[in-house]
Amino acid sequence: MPASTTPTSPLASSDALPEGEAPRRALPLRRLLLPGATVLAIALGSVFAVVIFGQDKIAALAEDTRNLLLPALTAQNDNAHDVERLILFGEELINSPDPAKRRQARLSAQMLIYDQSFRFDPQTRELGKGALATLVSIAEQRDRRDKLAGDLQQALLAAETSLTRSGGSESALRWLLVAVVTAGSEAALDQAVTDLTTATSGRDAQLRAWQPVAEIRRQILAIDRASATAWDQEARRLKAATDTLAAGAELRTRERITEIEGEAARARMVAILGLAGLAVLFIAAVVAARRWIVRPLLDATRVLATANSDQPQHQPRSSVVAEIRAITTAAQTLAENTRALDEERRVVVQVRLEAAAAREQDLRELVAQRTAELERAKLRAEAANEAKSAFLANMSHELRTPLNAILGFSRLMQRSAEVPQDQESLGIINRSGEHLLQLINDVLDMSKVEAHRVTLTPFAFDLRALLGDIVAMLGDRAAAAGLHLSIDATDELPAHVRCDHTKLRQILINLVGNALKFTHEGGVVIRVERLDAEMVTARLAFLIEDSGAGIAEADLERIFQPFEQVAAPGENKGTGLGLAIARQFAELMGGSLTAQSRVGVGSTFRLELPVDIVAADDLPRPAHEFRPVLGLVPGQPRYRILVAEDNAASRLLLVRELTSLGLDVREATNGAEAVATFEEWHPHLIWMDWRMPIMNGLDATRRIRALPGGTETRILGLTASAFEERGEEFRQAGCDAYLRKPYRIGEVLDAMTQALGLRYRYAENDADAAKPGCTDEAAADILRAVAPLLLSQLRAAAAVCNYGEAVRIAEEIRASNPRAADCIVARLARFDWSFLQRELGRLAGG
Amino acid sequence: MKTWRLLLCAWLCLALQALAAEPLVVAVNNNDRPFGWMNDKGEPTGFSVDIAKALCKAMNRECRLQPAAFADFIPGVASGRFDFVVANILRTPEREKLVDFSDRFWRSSSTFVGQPGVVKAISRQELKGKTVAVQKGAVQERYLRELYGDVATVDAYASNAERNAALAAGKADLMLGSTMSHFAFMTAKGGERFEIIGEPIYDGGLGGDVAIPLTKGRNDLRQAINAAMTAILRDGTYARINNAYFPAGVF
Repeated sequence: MPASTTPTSPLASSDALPEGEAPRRALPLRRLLLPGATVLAIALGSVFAVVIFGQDKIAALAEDTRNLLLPALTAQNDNAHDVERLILFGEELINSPDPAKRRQARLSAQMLIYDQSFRFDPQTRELGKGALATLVSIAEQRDRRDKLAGDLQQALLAAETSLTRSGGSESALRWLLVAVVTAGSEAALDQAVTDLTTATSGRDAQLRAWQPVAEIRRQILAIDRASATAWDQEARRLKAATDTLAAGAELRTRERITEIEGEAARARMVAILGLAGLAVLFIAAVVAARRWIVRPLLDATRVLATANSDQPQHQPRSSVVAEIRAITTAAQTLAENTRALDEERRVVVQVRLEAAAAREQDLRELVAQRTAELERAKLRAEAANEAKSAFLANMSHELRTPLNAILGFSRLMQRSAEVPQDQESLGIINRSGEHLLQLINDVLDMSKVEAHRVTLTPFAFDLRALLGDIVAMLGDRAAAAGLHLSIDATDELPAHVRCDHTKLRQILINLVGNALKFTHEGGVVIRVERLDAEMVTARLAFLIEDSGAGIAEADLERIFQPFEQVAAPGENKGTGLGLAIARQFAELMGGSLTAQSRVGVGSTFRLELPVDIVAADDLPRPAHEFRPVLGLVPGQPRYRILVAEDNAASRLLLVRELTSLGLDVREATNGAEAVATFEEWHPHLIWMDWRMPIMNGLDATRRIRALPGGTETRILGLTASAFEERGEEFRQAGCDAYLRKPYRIGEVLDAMTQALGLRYRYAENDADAAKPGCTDEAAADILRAVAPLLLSQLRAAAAVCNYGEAVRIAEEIRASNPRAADCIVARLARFDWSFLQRELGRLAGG
Repeated sequence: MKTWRLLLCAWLCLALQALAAEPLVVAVNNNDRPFGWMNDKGEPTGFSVDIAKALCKAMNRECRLQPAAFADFIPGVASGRFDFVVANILRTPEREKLVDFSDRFWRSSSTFVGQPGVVKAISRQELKGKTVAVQKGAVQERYLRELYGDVATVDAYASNAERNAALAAGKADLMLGSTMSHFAFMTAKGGERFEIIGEPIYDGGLGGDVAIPLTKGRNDLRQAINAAMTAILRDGTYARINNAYFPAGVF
């Protein structure tokens, strides 16, 4: 190393310093210096050269391994892998009984041979070609074998028939025949044939019908054997090729490893030798320096010192050595201390790090565990909820479908029943059905509320008309119980509002129905007030006041709890859910429902509700009036309607209703039938039930929509599910609209008007013509013609706003004066009490 | 000091820009089973689509998949509308003039498919008066027109699905396309009657490396794609996607 040469040169120049005998000892050094340095340089240079050269070689080897050998080995590996795949495809081809699978295996093999590693290496390419030829021929043989297997069945059948016909010891013969058919090898077949020949020789020729069976079986066995042999050879060839490839790869890898190891060993040897040489040179240099430079110097110093002090001096030499030793020791101690310190610090840091890591690990595990638990709990909860929803959906379907039939048919029969007793019975059936339906709906509503599956559908409507509807609906019940039912609405009320009017209606019907149920004398008043004076919104208060028994203070909150009934046993019939649902709905709509009561005086239920105020123009088309429909308005095209519904009763009901209108109707009992009927008949409109066997309504709708002409047909869905999101699924499947079961015929007709523009003839279509005549001016004249007794009854009813009574009287008037009846009904429908009170009052006065 | 601050600012800006990079627009086949097609939900799906997603994940970049027709791929990339395309696009000298290519993404060859017996072998004589279906803009189209354009009718379709349908419906006697894409057709319903006719074609640009074309000059993106390809080959993602669609390894 240069370090050893550097000190030599300045020292070399100092060899001139000693005097006397010293120059004689220093003289060979100068002569040695130059060749020594040269030798040293050459030696060092060659060591470096060898090391660098060796390194280059190793680097080249590494690069070659990375860039050439590894990809080559990978390719070889892929190649072997592909051959193995090919063998697998061959096995599939031989063994699979399914022709489609066999075709897939053959095509796979073809792709593999055409496109993959087979195409690069000429040797494997030939191998692939050969294998493909074998596979194709095996595939053909297999197909032929399948055909023969069919023939075998035929022949066997013929033989058996022949055996049966000839009678005798057919049972034994049949066993022999089975032996022929099941013979797994040609030897076994020969044995079975010999047995059969013996058994049937000299017998009826018919018995020899087994011979074709044996012949076909022989052919099959021959094919099996040939295929197996061919494949065996091919597979062996392929396996050998894989082995060769693998062996080649291994050989090349081993060679390369040996090469690298050799190179590494050589490099190591060179390094060791070089270092050893260097060490020797260094030691030699040190020894030489000591011998020829230091020692003469020290001698010279000693000589000088002796000359100066005349005393033998050993100190300089020993002090130099001691100094060097002291310095070395100090340096060693320092190094050791530093190392110890470092070690200590390292240990401390390590311990801290480990503790931190352990803590973190614990925390992470804890968090993971908690998360997993939560996830599990969530999944369980979701599963339970899902199960509940599914159960509800099922129950609603199961319960509503028969109920639908009961309601529908009782209505149909009521229309045609002539005996009053039947009418009455059917009425009872109908009402009971409606009641049952209400119970089911209540339970479902409650479940929906609990499952957060209720959505709001705001709708613009005429507030007074809604109130009128409710009174019309419950008026009969009130009248029957001898109670009055009236409405007290202030003039400030907005005429048209928007909110979820179905839910509002349900709440009001429930509250009024309850009030009637618990009131035995007096009556019920629906008071409606406006609580604010905003422009576009309003807060309304609906007060339902009754003069019933009242509710004890302690029970006032309890009645809003689900499944609670406060009334005396036997008095109440219901689920006890009505008020709970009503309150949930009210809150959902942003309002509130509270109750006040005094025992013995009566109760007041207060529903507060925010609504939007809308202009009359925003109102959708007027709600359908449920008047009996006689048929279609003439001159419309003859529409073809398909009813797809699996439940026979529901289907029959709908088909009858539609047929009675004069529509062309066909039926389908499942989705697949619906699709087939559509293809053949192209109906204008399809009523599609959701749940059907074989193919459900959603799938059928999608299919039909995908067929030619499928988008022109209107498809209307039917579902018994109580869940509102079903509507969205119907729409996504391609339905134009949907109805929920049980539907009223009016809804069905309305939906068809919307979809096809159908127009109907109503029983009282003449009434429409009379309506324009019922202006304020004409009313007096019209009413004047009515019998005074009826008029005074009507006045009494109008005075207390008793809707039910007023309608009843109007119908009585109809017998003698239909025009006046229409006029009254039209006003009642608009809930125009002030008009009736004014006009009737004027008539009475005048 | 001021200069340093400026430099630091510039560096930060660049770094932030890289972080908030726009999603890459990656075009995929819209109608070519099994490489790329639209599933029932209207989402692109298939071998190329899965590979594209895996590459984006490996590059750690957000990607927007853009289904497109085959003929739109190279012009779309050349104009910069697409950042790159993962589809069945062979690397050819003509295309290399318009776009840059990544390393190989899979290897392809071309084959004819038809009903056995209708066309017995592939030759000018056999193809006389026959109709051959092919995908518009594919190398196979040019090949057919050059070699057989004067004797046979060459019908080019916008997508492989339409090409397959034409053959199945008897509107064409033969079709030419990439061998791997035939497998799906021949094993699907309607493809049972068809077989590969003749030998696979590797030369004339009809076989070789299928690569990912990207807008010219975007070396950083090309390197990122290549690195991502190496990564998904190494960690087994590629093999997993491969085995979901093909009977053999296609890389």
